[in-house]
Amino acid sequence: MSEKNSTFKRIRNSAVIKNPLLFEAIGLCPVVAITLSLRLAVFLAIVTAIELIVCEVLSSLLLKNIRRHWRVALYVLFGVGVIFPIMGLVNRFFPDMSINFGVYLPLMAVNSLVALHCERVAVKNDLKNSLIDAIAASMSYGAVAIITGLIREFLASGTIGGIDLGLEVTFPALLTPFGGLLIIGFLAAVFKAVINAKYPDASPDRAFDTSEVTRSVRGSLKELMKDELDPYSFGTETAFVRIRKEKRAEKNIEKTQEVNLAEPQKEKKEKVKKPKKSKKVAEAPKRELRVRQTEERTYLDDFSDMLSELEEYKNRPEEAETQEKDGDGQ
Amino acid sequence: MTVFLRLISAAFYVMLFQNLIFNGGYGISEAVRMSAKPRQLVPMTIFITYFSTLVSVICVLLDTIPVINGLSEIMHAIIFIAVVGVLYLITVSLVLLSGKASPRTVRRIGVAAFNTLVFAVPLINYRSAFSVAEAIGSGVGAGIAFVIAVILINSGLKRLEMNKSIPQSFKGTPAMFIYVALLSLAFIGISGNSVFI
Amino acid sequence: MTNQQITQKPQDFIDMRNHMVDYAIMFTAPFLVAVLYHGLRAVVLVLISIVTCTICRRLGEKVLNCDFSSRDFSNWIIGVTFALLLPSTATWWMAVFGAIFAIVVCVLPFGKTINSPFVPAAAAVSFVTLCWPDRMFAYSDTAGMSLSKMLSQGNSIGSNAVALLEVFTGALPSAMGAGCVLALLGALVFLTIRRPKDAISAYTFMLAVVVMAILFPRVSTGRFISVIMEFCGGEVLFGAIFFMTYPSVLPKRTFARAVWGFAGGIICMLMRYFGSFEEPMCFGILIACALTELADKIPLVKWEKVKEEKEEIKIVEPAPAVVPEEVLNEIPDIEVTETEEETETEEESVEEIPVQESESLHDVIEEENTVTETEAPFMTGGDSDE
Repeated sequence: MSEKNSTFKRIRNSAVIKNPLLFEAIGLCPVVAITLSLRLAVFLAIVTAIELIVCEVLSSLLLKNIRRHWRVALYVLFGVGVIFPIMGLVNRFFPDMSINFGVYLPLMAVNSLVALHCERVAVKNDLKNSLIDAIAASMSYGAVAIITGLIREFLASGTIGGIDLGLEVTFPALLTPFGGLLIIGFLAAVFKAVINAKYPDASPDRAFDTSEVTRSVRGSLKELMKDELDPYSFGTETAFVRIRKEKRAEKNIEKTQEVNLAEPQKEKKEKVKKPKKSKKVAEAPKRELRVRQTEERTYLDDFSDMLSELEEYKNRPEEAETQEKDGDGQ
Repeated sequence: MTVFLRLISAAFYVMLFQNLIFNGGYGISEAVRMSAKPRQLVPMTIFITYFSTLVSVICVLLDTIPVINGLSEIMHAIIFIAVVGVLYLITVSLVLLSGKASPRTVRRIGVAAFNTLVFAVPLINYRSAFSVAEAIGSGVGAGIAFVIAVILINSGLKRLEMNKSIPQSFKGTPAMFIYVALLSLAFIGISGNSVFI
Repeated sequence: MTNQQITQKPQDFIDMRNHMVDYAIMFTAPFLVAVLYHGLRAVVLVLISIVTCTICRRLGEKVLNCDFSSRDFSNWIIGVTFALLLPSTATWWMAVFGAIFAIVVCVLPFGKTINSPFVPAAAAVSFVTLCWPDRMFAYSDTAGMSLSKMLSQGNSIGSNAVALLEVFTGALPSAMGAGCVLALLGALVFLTIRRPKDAISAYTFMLAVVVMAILFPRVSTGRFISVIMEFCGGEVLFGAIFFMTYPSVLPKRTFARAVWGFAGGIICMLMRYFGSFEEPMCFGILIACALTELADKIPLVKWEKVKEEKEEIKIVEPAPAVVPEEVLNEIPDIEVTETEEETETEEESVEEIPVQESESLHDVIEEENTVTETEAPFMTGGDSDE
């Protein structure tokens, strides 16, 4: 039961709470551009599901021990292996659909949804969990794509599945990417309201990190090199990554020990160099600290001054009374 | 001079008149996610411009070879992806061999290389029969279009972050999508209904 | 609602309400001209738009279970603004769906009207233009070509007085509220007197239009006629007065507003030159709205720096007067007897720690920290002023 519960929770998390399209903004391009009708949306959902399942299974089986920067290229290779045969079939059997898809069908080979899920789940889990994640994510992605296509076709063309409903008023503007984004936005709001009502503890807001939004666009490359976050913030470390980091740390410690023993002169030179670098690095935060200090001084220091003045005033009456008494006495 | 004018006109076409991101939806995921982390904009823009320009030029040059020119559209797309892949592998190898780049930089190269924006540029060049100068312009224009999109979306996200009266169900990505949708509506005013495919 | 109740409302609600009242006064002349030229049709479209906006807002608030202080007349003004940019041949459902779009897409997801990042009426006009461009530019059933169409085709009105008079009095085909230049200029004068700081962005917007018309004329009958046609044609003047001064999209500082208005004018003119619609002004306004945040980042100009320093001195000079009650209770009551030696020091000490009721830094900080708390009791109002 606990395994079933955990499986259900995993599916719920990847399909609903962290819906890749609605709450993580992954794989927007095809949905925004292609889902102009229910038929196209269904086709998109099927193609995405096939691509995601095949890529995640292959990644889970073959790519665990390969370095990340080579893995990224292999994801695309798997995507090409899935998408291009489909393209050939579509060109042959559904030429009108091929025209509707245009450039977007081959673009699905570099879909960020596939790369992220393979990197996040497939290479860090066994085959079963990868398969569950692939099915859950593709179903959630496909569901949103189909709903979007249905709404767009209904409102923009006045048809559903090609059947004309005889609407007098249609909104052709919804056939543009603007329409796709608008419908996805409202779908996300509806999903979020349902999630908040049904699972109040699970917040979909965590899926899309906006903590750095207010930071400046201008950032030095040097600072970014030291930044811990990567563009897609993959989350928890696997044992593989942790072991690799530990090994690197051990190697660094050994290297510094060797350097300390073998070459003391060079260390001195390095020590001389380091303060210069640290000065440069320290300059930036110092300015911020100064600003903060001046900001705090405006009311906190004033308040402390006021309290000290009150204390003085409190103490003064005894002296004043004695002086007055002396004065009156005189 | 005409070469330069063609380059500029192709760049403006891709940047403004048929903005790749707002009018075409190419790379909109990357633009939205990058706008939430604006400090990474500078390196990402450099990498995206680098890849889009080089891929664009190489693919146009390859298309001048008669054997490749006679191939079907599917084969062209495979060749374009192969060019992107090879360029990525060469770039990563050079970066790793240089030894100075951090792992994050290498990760960003992967994100910058394999996205719909970079891959869309050679496909559009092929469909529009762009020359080499126009290919360079479209590659550079794609990078600038990415910057414009990220800056505009980021300024909107900042505004939404400061807005405390957003209803609970619209907080986060829903309001963001609606904001980006309205930006897309604004850019359609330049291009009209037609979107280049 | 009594004045006392109004003063108890949050400041942004009061500001928005006052702004909307000013807009309502400004809309009087263009609305009357629209009724004069287009009859009951104008009244019907405006009413439909206002009613739809109000219903959508109230329903939306109920569905979202929020109170966004919608009783600040903003629904009415959004409805009127949108309806006056429709042609007289517009159908009732164009007014309905445009109004729904303005409220449901541009206002409700962002909470209060003051927090809307785009001008709702401009977004609604853009949406309707994109959906039904032929209907949006079918200005009237009578013969005649609108100024914007003439400009797009390179035709000129000529320099005769009759043509110029038609331009200024709104006799040429145009959107219902955007045709009569004289009425709009009257609204601009009112805005300048009432809200001079807000009007700056409108003036710089118009300046940009004039500059572009002079530098890049689309007609061959001279730059003066080009300026007249570009300035008076389409929705430029309307947009400058009512959209570029909309409170939710204005930058905070005066210089930033000036730069932002100028940039908005350039963008709108570029869209006119290169865009695919006859009158893409509203699309340009949306892009300008997206640049508000960037405009706020423009560095301070010299006179703004001086002004800020003066304001800081005013805030810093008076000592923080609000003393916690606990400290006050500890201080014993002291009888101050004036002596020649101690009068100055006593006066100084009294002056240094006065208990003032006026706004102090502490109050400002408290207000900043407790805005949400003060808003809560005012949210559940059942006042029906409308």
